[in-house]
Amino acid sequence: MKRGEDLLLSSRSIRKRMVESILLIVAIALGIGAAGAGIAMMAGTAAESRELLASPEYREIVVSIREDTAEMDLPVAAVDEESDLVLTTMDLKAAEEAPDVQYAYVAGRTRYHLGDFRGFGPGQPPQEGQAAPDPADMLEIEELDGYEVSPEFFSAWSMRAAEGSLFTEADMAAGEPLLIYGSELAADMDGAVGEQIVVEGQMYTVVGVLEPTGTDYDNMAFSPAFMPDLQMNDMMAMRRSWGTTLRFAVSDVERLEEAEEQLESYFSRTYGAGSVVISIPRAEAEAAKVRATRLATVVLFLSLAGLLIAAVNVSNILYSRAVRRHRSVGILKALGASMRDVFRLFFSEALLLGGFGAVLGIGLSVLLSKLMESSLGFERISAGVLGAGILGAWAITMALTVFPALQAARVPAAEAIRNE
Amino acid sequence: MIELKNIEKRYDLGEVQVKALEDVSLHIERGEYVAVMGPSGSGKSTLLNILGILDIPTGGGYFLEGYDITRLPDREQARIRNKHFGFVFQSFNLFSELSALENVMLPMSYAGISSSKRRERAVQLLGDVGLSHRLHHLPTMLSGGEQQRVAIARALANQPSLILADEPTGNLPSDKGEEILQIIEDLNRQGVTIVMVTHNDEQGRRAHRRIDIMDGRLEADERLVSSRAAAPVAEVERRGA
Repeated sequence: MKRGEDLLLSSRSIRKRMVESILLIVAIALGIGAAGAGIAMMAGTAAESRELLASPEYREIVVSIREDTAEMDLPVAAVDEESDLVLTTMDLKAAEEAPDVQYAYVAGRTRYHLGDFRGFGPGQPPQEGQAAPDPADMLEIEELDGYEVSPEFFSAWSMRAAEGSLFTEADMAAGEPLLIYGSELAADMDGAVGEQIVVEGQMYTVVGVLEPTGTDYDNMAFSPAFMPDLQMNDMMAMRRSWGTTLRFAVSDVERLEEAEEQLESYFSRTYGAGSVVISIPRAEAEAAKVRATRLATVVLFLSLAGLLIAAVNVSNILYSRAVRRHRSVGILKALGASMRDVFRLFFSEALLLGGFGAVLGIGLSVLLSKLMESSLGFERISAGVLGAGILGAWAITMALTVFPALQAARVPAAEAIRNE
Repeated sequence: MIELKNIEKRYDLGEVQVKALEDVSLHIERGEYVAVMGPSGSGKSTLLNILGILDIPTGGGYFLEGYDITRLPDREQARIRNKHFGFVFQSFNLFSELSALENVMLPMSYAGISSSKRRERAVQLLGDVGLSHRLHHLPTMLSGGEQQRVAIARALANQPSLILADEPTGNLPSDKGEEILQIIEDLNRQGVTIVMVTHNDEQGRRAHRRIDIMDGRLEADERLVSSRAAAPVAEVERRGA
């Protein structure tokens, strides 16, 4: 029999049993959608973990004076109020004791308060002998998120200036108040290189705008890290140093722990045991990766179970359909259909249903993967992986429809005609 | 044309074995018009199914033009059913989802005939049975007599040499049954061999040869009138008589 007749009979059969056919199509679509979503989640998690661990910060050892509890990469909580230690760029020389350290830099999370406070701010009364400013002359107070960094920070993160220039060691030594904008921040601030802005009463000069990085850094500002020889009182030094971290990047991640011990030895000797907190963000990232992978594996298992349940049900419904059509099989055989012809007819019908189901299933998979991209923060899920997952799910479903088609083909013609 | 030698058909029903046919031997010549008669459950439909290779005997031999066709592979048996046999059933057995035209075209698709020729021949066959005005009607929109005429047109699609009819008028009122019988007899006059199972004595008498089956055994084989190929003598061969 020609393929055209197979499709004609199959499509008529589908139309004749419309409700059942719609249920079959939905079951196939849900199975494929579930499997596609599970595979997308697994692939997204794997890619995310790969990308995360490839990030420069996960080759680093972080030294700070505070417990690192709020974020993996930044110590922001549990301030050690008793500590009077101030970490500065001078402490980067600890790297000399750790041969595997490739480079080191300072990164201190900070907020730049725009506007001229002149010693007071909103809600804070003027100090004695100081005239209250005219509110009309006050600049709009705005905060910029950012880091005080040493120049190696930019090379560590492969950041380049799209406009102007980056800091140099000389800039840091000079103690000039300089500022670099991330690409998106520059657009938001409508800022240009050479522009001067007031940050907490001090005039900063914008010397550069970074190329887009696709990270949060695009919305941040950067200024030279705190230098030890700057003249400032203890309180100011302490306040500025609270968020300061020293970052030591190791060339081989296998040597992180060894380098950590070497650095710990330096800081214990220099400032006393336990004076600084040394952490390896990679360890936490790897633990997070394991957790995410386990979760994705469970989701994948559930989605594949869903696929299997859907496929078995599709197979069952098609089988019962084949049983109900025994008489038709007998008639077809009487008209000259061979077992192969009958098999092909029933399998064509399954393929047709599978085709409709696959179209819906692809839509569902793509929708769910987009949802994952947006809600779980995955990068774009590979179309190849998603496509292979969908194809695999469809193939499993179709493989299970072979059974009812075979059963139909094997029905003895005389018995089929006699039945019903 | 057809020779059955000591055909047996047994069904295994668990511990019980049912003999549907036992030691049936027959010789059917080309152009014969044979009526197979017998009470319900006597085995006449089983015999018809075996003749149409819809069922395989459990013993004996079935020779078509000298070849033992029970040993042929499924594909070859299907080809023989398609090219050489035409089936007409009591309950018409049309595909309800296909139009009259599509039902008639269906057997031709297994014969590898092109779509345009299939359509052309199906239109002609339906015209021959007086249904030119019902080409695109679904079976449910046709009367019983019309459905049976579509079934006859379908049986003739590949110009078979043998028509196997299982009580073709059983579900029809007598006037419509008569029309169907006329068509079948016309076909026989054109040289098509007819083997028809019937309960109806009158229909049995109109055939050229009557075979009686009882409890799976061939009870009688009577030549009633001359046919195109059979011996022109009405002879009676009563087994055991």
